[in-house]
Amino acid sequence: MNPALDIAAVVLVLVATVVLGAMGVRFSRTTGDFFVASRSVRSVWNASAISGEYLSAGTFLGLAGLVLLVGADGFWFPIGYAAGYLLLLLFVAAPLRRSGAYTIPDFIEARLESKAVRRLTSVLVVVIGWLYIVPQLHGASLALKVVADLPEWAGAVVVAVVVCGLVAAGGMRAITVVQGMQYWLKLTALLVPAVVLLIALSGREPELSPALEPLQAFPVELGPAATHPYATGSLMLALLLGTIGLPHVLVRFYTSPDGGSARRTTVLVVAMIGAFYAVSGTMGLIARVVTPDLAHPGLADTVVLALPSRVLPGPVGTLLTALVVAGAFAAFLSTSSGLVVSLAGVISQDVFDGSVRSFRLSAVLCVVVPLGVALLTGPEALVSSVGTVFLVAATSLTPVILLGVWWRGLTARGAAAGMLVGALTCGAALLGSALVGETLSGADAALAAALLAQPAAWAIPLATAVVIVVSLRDRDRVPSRADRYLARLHLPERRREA
Amino acid sequence: MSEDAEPPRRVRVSADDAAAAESPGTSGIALPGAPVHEADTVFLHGLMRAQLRLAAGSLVGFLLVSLVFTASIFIIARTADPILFGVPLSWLLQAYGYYPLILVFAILFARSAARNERRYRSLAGADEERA
Repeated sequence: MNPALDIAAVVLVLVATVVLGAMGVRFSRTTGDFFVASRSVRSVWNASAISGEYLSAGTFLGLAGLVLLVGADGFWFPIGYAAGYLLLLLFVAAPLRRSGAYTIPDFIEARLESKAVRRLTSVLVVVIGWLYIVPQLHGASLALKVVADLPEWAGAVVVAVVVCGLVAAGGMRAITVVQGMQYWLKLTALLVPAVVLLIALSGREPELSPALEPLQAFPVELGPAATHPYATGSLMLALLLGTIGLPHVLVRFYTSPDGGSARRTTVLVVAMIGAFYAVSGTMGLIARVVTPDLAHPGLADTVVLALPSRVLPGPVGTLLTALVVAGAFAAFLSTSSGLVVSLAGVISQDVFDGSVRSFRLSAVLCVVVPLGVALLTGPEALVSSVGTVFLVAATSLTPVILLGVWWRGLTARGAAAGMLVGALTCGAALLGSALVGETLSGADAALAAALLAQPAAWAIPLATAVVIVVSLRDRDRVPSRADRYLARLHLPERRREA
Repeated sequence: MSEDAEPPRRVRVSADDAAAAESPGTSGIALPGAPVHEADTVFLHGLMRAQLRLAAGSLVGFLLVSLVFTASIFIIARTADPILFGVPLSWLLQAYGYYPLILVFAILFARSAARNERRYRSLAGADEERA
């Protein structure tokens, strides 16, 4: 590793981000530009931006680290993230684009005609967003510490300042351009090293290679056959459904010109993120062969940064490391800016007057709080931190969004009850897992620990049942315009304009 | 103006009662400003049912295919797990095999959903022409 070159790569990414963002700022003049880029972003560029935003520090650094640490179970995370987009496509992509809303709370209020439920949704959206920004800042701290030996606060502060400035200056219009670029940068930053490392490893003389034999690197006890059925099934449910409840994912569909293009965009996103996960998984497989010494919690997340220099100690390895660092920073910046845009949209409308000025002030608030949390806490396992965010979104927001799109009988009370039960149950299970999960003993201890650590399998059905039961008991209060709004969600655009 | 002239008569001015005007005898699916037709209601509910059926069917199909694929990986990992490019086949399938499946289901669904909407448009358009 060469600290000067690595920092130069980071600076280059920051400059490219600011320059592209400034180009976007020139076109950001209206409130619609700031919130949803005036709903005029074409499918390919929008898909690049969505993919750029979705592929966070968790997958760029964390996925290979997780495969190194836990084996084949690590692959379930990206599979769940990608399949989550399939569910998004199946049930909500086109209807939500047609909803005419800027944010999830806008959608909930328009659908349920309730300010109180809107406020509850806003609180959940902001909490989920903040929880998601923290691992991005942790990832930035980790990267700069490893490659340049800078103090831990440096990376988090750099990302926070750039994201804050970019979003406050240009809103959604500016970051759409930036995030589109960042997807391709991230893909290149992993694809080039992966290909070069595979070529280098395949051409090595066996006696010179420190690599492990296949059966040592890929033991059966860490392979696909060793998966815990309940824990994996519950995790997959959280990841599949959690994508629908992520605030920065849904706001992206509002930027498509119409429902059909929102659907086409989602198909492109599935292809793009699948390609990235395949490359990222390759780095995980290489890591298991080359760097078994890094298979420790805390160290494993740095393996993508360490791999090029381990395999190619010369200038090629140094250059590849700089490229990986650049890609990692693109990941921190794109996901954070997407989250901040969506949160700023919510806060500016719910707390302030919804103007461009209040959007800018909200953007600052949305960065300061998670920055404080990130500085007060240390970097945890990046992938599992992001997985927790998906779990919270899946238990609290997803049942209400899905039923809001497809079930006429949803009421405001049902939605509020379901969101509260989902969020509180999920929080209690995770707290219980942290406090007593490891102290359990006996025959049922493993199952009890899994039920607490992966509560999606019972918490999501519970929250959904609460929404349905409370709504059915409250059927006199079905919103008077429910049919009209459902028609709006499902009616194809040309027909509506006719 | 003379002092004994009567002040102008007060006239109450209000917006059109749009909600009342649009309030249909049926379940009210029209968008603001659009007339309500019974046929529209039937076609729209048909479209919603078709889209939900398609989404649910695609999900069930995806889950079934994924389960079969996962079971196949499990069996391969437990029995003869050939090494390809230095990596056991079961690991390679787990790392790369699911994404093409997800993409295929995404493409099939998007095409079918667009076809449902085209069918709705043609039905609704034909009904309008008759009207």
